[in-house]
Amino acid sequence: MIRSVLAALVAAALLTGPAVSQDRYNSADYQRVTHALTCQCGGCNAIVGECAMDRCPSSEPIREEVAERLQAGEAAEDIISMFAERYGLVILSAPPASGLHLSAWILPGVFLLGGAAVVFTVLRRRRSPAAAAPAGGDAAVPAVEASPEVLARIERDVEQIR
Amino acid sequence: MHHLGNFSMMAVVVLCAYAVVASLLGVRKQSSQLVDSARRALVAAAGFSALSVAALLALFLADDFRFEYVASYSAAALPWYYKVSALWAGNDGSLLFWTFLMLVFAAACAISRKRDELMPHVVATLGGVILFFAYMNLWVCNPFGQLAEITAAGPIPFTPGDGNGLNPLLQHPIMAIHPPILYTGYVGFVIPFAFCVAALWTRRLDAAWIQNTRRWTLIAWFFLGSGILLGGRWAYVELGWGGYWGWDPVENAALMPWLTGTAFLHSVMIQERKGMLKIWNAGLVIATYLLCVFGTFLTRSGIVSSVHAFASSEFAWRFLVFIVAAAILSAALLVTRVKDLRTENELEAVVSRESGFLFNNLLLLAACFAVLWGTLFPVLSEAVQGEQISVGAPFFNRVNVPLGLALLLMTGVGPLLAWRRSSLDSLKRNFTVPLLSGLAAGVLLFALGMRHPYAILCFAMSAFVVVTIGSEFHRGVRARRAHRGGGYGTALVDLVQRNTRRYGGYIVHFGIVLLFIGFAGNAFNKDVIADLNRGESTAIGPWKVTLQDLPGGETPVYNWLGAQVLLSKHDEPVGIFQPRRQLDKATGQATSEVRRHATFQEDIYLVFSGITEDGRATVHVYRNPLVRWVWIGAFVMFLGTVLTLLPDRSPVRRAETAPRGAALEAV
Repeated sequence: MIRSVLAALVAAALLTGPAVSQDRYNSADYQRVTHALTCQCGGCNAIVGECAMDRCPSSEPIREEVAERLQAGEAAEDIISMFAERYGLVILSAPPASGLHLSAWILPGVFLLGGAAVVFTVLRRRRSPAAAAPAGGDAAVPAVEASPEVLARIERDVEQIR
Repeated sequence: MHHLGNFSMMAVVVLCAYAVVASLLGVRKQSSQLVDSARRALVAAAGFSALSVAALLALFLADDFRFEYVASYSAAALPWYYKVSALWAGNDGSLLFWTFLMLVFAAACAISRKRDELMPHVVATLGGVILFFAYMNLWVCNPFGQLAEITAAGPIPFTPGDGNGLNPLLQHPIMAIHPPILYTGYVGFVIPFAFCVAALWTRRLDAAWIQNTRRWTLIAWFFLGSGILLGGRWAYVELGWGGYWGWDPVENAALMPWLTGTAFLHSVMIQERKGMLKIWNAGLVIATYLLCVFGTFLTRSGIVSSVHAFASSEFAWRFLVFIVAAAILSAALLVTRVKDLRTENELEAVVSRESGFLFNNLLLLAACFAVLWGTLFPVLSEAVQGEQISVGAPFFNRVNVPLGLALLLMTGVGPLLAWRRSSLDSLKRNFTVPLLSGLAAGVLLFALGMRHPYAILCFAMSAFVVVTIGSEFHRGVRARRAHRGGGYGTALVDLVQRNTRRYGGYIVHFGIVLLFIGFAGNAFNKDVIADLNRGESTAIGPWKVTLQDLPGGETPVYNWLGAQVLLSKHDEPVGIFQPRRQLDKATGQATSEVRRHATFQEDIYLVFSGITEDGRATVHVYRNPLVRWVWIGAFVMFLGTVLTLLPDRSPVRRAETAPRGAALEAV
């Protein structure tokens, strides 16, 4: 008896919300929209579709609204735009690829390409016939990677010298 | 006890200051006694730091809620082991613990490398860095502050009946070990940083400082990586969102130095073998350590919002000053030593092991930059445009997945390239079988119906890398058997023992492949949410989840309610699981206790989200393929790293890796 009362109390504390059909939460569009939006609770930065906070005051109403709008026939892109207008760009889980925000997407690529250009330049500039000659500055370095076969042979020779 | 804590922290400040002054004076006056005393001061500081941590721990275990930090993160009913882990649950205690770990590294280094020529400057650098943290412990984030009630007559000491309790999400066995392991990784990079600064300072810029710090770097890298993966494991089993990596700023903060540290561990081989990339390697070590400090700044300053963060404005500007000062001083040292860092050799060919390492470094740094840029973009956007913006997982995945795949490819390509230059013949000989294997894997998966381009690429590249690694081992074993005879197993053990660094590295690479296989599984994740009455089911693929009961209960710490479900596959029962919701009594916070059915093929991840108004249980079922390979990959990486830390048995290898000049001696 006590257990069932306790369970009821805890259940009341853990209520998820109104009883609704859950099929609407499992569509591809629902997944797409809820993954394009972030929780606005003020600290977690979670994707709305992944926010696991109990009765989250932000993610849960957004999920509900997304499901309702999709059921009403609204397009996924329109719903995302509507939320962006209502909350500002901060609700989007990735910066838009326009205006100054484009730099968020471009700069990592610029870094990579710039770095690749530097590496190629260094490789070209530093390659010199003199350096390639076996009698170069570092005679101790083997001409090729010491393969296991070569290492074994060297080892055998060393042992013989000893 | 708090007097002991405060006194110990004060002693750490004094001893670190003494270590800086005495070591520099010792160098100036050429007094080995002064230098030795500076070294011993660091060891003594580690002892006092341990005392301050022990004092705080004693307050937690004694439920001494007079102290604000204890009252904020503990409660009387908390089990003793969570009282211990509450030590690092907040900013002040975790920073104290951070300083302690840094001093453990410093003391171990001061004891084990006392005859090193660089030691006086290493001690001065370590002392200077730790002095800052000790100052923060004592005057800015002191965890021994007492609670007081403000009255008209002034503040009166106040002791609450019980503490606020520990965040229930942190009440998990992994959380008892994840922070110390992660912190050990973060602070461990202080040793290679100190050696690098000392080498630049004294202009002793041969490969000696790098060889002397290789194990320290590997240990720090290993702990940082393990900490990151343990954090992922905790997120997966505790947070209830079905994933293990969310690109949270604090996760990113740990990933960045790991990426630059990985780059360093590769490029350092070029300096050791050929005396090249000296500036680059010094820059990487400095960047790695500064990123470690920047990571803790991100976590503690509140500059970015994160579930992990402890926001503190008092803390932020001081830390920023420290980071900027350390960056300027390090950069100045680097710039003024450029002439001494001249390369001893030149790169000879575009297709060579050296260039392979360069491209590997480029990719790792590009990934690090992408993570840094994405993490800071919201702050920069707000500063420049006055507009708040979010940068979440979709951004990081889109930018970093191609980079990650390119890195995976390099993991296989690198070992197939020869040092100095690879001839066309050797390229054909080395690449044919691995490339065909990768291609065959890709074609096979496509024929079997897989259509996700990144997943196909990932699996194909994984096959390529695994065959590369396998062929490296096989060639080595064949050579050893030709030389010494014996069975395959004996030759394999002999081979590995003779070059632990090389073959340990291959095992780490194999662990990376397994990690990527686990990551690729994300492309096929599916989930379903269902409201179920008793006896009702929901299905996901061949799996069916049937609600049987809604049991509940109580412990001294929380109340709980569970959804008892029967999991079956193709209508064959697999097991009964009971995902729960728990309501923490102290904090009133509700959390999920997920349950998983994990196989090598996939995880079925069950979350009980709560009860609807009409009494149905909301159950969220995730089907996550290949997740287990992430944890297996992490374990394989652990084994590989341990192997690389073991000494070689081969006289040839020892001669090859010893400083020049020592090579002849060894032979």
